Amino acid sequence: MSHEHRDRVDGIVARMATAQQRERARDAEDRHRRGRARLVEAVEAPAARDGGWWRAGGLAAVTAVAAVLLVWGLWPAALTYTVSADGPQPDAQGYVVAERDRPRTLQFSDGSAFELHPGTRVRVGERRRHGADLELDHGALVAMLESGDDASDSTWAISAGPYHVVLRGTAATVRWDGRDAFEVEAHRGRAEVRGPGIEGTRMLEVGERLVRGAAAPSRLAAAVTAARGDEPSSPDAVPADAPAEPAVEPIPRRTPPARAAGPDRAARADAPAAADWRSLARAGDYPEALAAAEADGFAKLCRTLGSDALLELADLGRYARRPARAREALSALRRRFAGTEAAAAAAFDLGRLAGDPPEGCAKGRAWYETYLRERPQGAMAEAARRRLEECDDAVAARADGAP
Amino acid sequence: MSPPVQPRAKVLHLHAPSLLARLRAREPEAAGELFDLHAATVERAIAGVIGPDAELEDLVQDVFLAGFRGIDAFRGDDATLGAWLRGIGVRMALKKLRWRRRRRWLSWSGTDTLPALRAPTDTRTQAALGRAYGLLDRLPDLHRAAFGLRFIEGMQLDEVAQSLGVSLATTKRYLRAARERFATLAAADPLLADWLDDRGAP
Repeated sequence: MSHEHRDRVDGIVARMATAQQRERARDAEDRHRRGRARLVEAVEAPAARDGGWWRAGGLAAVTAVAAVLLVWGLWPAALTYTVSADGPQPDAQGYVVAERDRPRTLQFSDGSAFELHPGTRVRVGERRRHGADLELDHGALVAMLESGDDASDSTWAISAGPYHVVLRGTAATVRWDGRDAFEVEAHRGRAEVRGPGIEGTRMLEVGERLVRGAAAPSRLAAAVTAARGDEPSSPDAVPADAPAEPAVEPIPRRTPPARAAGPDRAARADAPAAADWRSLARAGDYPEALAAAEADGFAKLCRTLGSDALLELADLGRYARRPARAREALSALRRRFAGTEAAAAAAFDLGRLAGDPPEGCAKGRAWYETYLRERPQGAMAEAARRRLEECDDAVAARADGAP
Repeated sequence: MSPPVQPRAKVLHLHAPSLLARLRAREPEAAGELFDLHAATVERAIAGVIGPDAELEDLVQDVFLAGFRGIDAFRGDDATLGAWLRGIGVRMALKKLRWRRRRRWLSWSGTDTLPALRAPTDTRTQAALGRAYGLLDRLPDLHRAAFGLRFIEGMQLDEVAQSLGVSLATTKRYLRAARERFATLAAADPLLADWLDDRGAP
């Protein structure tokens, strides 16, 4: 390309760039606000619709069962509840609010009660014969249940933002600030917690407190202290300079019971629990996470982990720049879960591990072809085809004598 | 009413979940945060491929919805969410280009497309930009996308490669070919030559 041509192209491109930038700068804030609101609305809507269908289906089933039970005279009476008179009655959406200067009590007909801390907003959802669902909008509540042991059919559940707590005991405190600070403490019996940051379900034992939110502990602790009848009486009453929480005990790692073993194994069992490779990986500390996985026995993990966890382990190998480990995990996955979606994804990943085209074509091509054979319409199919095309291009370019 | 007094509870700290964890938990507000963080990146990537376009805002929306709904398939971390969304944006924009190409072919309409510029520009600039984008329309899709992302939107080479899902070497090849072709086409366009002689800003 001549200099004149190059300048000409640069000039045109510069003007196109300026025009595009000006265009985007125009109404940028409005556009952003509009787009954000649209997105949040759109992602909220399906959940509501799904819930609606589910509820509609559930309602139909419940109605049918109710009709049968009514005929037999066996209709189990759901619990009823009353709200203490020291505040407004439930609002139009059914929320009960405790005013900022005094607690309130929700008293259920079986004798169970929930104390709402000052400023708390909560709604009673479905009520059953032995339990109910509560939705904690914000604030803190203390549950004192009449029957809550594991064996009974009592189910008391509290949802707080993205968290869901099922009470398996008779006394617990739950707090949620409506944004991100969350806390549960089991005082008597256990509490089962699900939500972000918790893999599966976390079962809290008596005396354990689960806390989310770094800034919240002192306020949250106050709520619990208040729940115990100590001072201060309200989370809001805690002075800003309240002392920090005392030393925090880390989450104990579940170590499998030591098998009969030599001194090394015994010593390891007695040593302080090492951090979990998954937690470390999720925290972004890949070399440490891989070291932890290796300490657990990498080969053993490859033999025992499920397919999703094996993909995670392979990712860890990649991020820690130890492709041999990634390959080991992916190969184990393909061997142990042959024919599954995860095994196909592993084939694609093995292709990627061979390197980008054209350098990685020699080893990667077979894996991309494997993926396409196993999942011709899969999520990675387009990418696999494109990579194969690039490999073909590279071969053609080499045949043409291109550098 | 008080629960039984017991020794101070053992505290188990639950780390504030990452944005990715909250997205996987399907928190609507996490979608809003994702938008706050990466909307500009995604918009820039789409504009790089299709230019100023009346459907840009809708495409950005589609990218975030697809990202939110497909978050379980995402295998990176918080730090790579932006690059992942940018890749989705580029793929969607390419799809839109191809769809338009097919539609134009079916309706026998011409190839020139006028950019949807709402910012004030004079008629001559509008026309010249229309011709310039028309020239881009005559490049293969991937070449056009690479050209737009690199030269018009000023993205780094590795970002372009990552967005297109191709290697660095392939990206360079696309760019070389796109530039050559664009230069050849522009050289034959008198209106663009006149426009460049005019030193005023577009």
